[in-house]
Amino acid sequence: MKFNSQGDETVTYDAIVVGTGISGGWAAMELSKKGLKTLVLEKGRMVQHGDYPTANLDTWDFDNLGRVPAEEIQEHYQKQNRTGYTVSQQSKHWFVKDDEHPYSESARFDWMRGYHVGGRSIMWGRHSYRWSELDFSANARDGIATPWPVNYAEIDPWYTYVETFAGISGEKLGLSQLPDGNFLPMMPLNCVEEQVRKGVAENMGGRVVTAGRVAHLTAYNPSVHLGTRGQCQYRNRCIRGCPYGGYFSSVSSTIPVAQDTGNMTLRPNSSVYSLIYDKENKRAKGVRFRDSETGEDHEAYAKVVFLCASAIASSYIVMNTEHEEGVTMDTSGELGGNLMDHHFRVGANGVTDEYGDKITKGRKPNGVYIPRYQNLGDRASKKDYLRGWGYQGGAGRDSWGHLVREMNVKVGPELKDALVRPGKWTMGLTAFAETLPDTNNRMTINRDVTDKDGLPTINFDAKWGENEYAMVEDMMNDAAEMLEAGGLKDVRTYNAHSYPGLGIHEMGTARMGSSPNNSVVDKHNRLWAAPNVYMTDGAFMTSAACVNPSLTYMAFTARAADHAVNELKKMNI
Amino acid sequence: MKRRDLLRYTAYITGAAVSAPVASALLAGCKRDEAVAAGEATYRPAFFNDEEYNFISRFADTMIPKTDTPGALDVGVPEIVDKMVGEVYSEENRENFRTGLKALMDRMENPEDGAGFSARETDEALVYLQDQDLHYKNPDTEWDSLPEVEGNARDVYFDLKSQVVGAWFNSQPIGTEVLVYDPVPGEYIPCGDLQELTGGKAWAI
Repeated sequence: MKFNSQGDETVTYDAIVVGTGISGGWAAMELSKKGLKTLVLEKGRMVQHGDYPTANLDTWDFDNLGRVPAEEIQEHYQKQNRTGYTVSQQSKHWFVKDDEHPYSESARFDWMRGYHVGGRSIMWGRHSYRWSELDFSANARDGIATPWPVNYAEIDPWYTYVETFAGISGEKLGLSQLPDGNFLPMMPLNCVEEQVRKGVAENMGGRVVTAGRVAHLTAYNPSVHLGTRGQCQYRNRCIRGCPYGGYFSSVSSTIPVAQDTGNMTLRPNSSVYSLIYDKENKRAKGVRFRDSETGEDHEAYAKVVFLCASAIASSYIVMNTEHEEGVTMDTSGELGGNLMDHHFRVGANGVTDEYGDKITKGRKPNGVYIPRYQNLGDRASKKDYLRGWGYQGGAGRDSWGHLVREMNVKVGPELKDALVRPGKWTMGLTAFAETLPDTNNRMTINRDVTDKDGLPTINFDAKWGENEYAMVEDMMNDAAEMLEAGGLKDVRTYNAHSYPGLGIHEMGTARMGSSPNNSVVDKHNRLWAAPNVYMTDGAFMTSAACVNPSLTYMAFTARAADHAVNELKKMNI
Repeated sequence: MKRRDLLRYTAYITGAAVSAPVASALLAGCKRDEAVAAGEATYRPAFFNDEEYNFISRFADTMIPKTDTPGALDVGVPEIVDKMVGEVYSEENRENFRTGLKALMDRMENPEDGAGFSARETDEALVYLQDQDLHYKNPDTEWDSLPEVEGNARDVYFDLKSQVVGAWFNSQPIGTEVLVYDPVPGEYIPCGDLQELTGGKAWAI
């Protein structure tokens, strides 16, 4: 069935983009800005900028102070609740119901996602870091997996391009392992963060404490930050969606710009489950999708297809194409393999008696970042494991929670008094570490279990490996050392362990490489098996680095869109 | 009705000595019934029984009393606790809470020496609760070596204390009138003067 029952003509576009998250939004904007009639298919419901139902609610406005009943979690959110913070009244509507969208686990995998226009760009962490040459050359240097077929210099201008539009606040540091970009003013460090910065610089040469580089507008420029953007208001309610457009999301940024071109058709409630494959010409003719409201199947056609459905979902579409079309899409045996994330939930916390007469104004949606300082290629930073990690963290004054077990405060009027005053300054650091690609860490299609649309689901089988475990102790102890160097007391370390997926940086499954024999996509993100199909979400990642990956998806998506349009002009597609 | 009169009255109609927990329920209930009659309180607990709810109300009122600012009862803390345990907790946690609450009430309402918590006048109840608070916070006690019931009581003590404090702090009257409320700061000052920015108070959110 054609999706509007009017024949092929009206369902044929220049380009189809699958997904509207970070990558899909960029693909939609770039392709429609370059004049391509672009159909954008989103699995979930429609959301437009401003559709943020909880954005202006206070704790007391929510039932049960924002907590979700255990029975509701049991019924709908058993897996989505594994983060411990996403399934709350403020943000649960951005996450799928696990009973509607089940998946199975040969090994535990925490697949956290939401199906709606904007995808996870609405509730992402907003930290935005460039990869470095150290990262792009890592696989080749270590003899791990397959080398990246691109280098930093090729991606550098695309980083600049996407940073400029998205608006990344940050501090230039001149570090080779974390290249500088085109930054808006950094968010300042608070009193204690600044003290730790100094203490670490003085006592631990080479380690740098800086502000997180985040996609927030600290200097809004309406002629550059297009869409429905505005200055960050320091409310720190980002996970709910920002009515001010203070941070970058597809719904505040790329999709409104795409919409304004007049070239984009956005169709929500459309679950793409297969490419339509032209065996003769070895290319995709379009995609098949199921309308999740009517249950009807549809086809749409285009010269070029961008798969931006997420690392897992895009590879699922390619894998399922083999089933639907009876063709081989997996030229290397790597499709679905090399599933990666960052491992974390390891670090330290401390407290200080100083700065009792100081406080912040504004709730900074950000904290500090400590760039990787391990295995930088010199002898001094060499470890007996590969790769490394960086830290995110921050300082603030304790609120009421610490008073529950405080020995020196009597209940009654004294407790009441203490509650009204800010507590001591505390600071924490959490390491985010690189994981190595391993072909055995896999997702596969599970045809025995279907989702609410009747489509097959996914099974995960991925575990941390030896190299990941080898660095955990250092990740933990170094955090404590740095806090102590910064003058904090009662420093305590923690190792809360994380399972793959919980970093919500899932990557791999369709890695980029130099030949169809070692990879799934080429250096321009094109499927070897169908070169008019570009995969530009986390699926193409050949290694994981230790930094948050979204900025890299943006850069590669913009680069791939440029490539696709040039190929079309040259009549190569 | 005065507390001692109520006790005497209860003994009269039942023809028996009243156990401390029942008496406390009646006492706290008396206060609440008067409030209901005055149109000040209409909430009927959905999860806790009257005895439990009255204990929680007295607990909250003593822990965060009304002073020149609203106390726990003024901002509906017992109601929030009733809903939190009744609606949010899992069935297992709900039952654990009830078991622990019984242990806590048994201990606090039937002390070996002196009057129970609810039978005390306000000032004495405060002193008693402060004493209990120190008892449960004592880092030298090896709780694991004590009977399970003691541990259950302690778990619920901190759970309840935490809920009372959190519900009070996160209520609208406290957030907007007692703490400093700034929903849209619009700027970030990283290391400002506490007195200048908030008059020495904490931010509400």
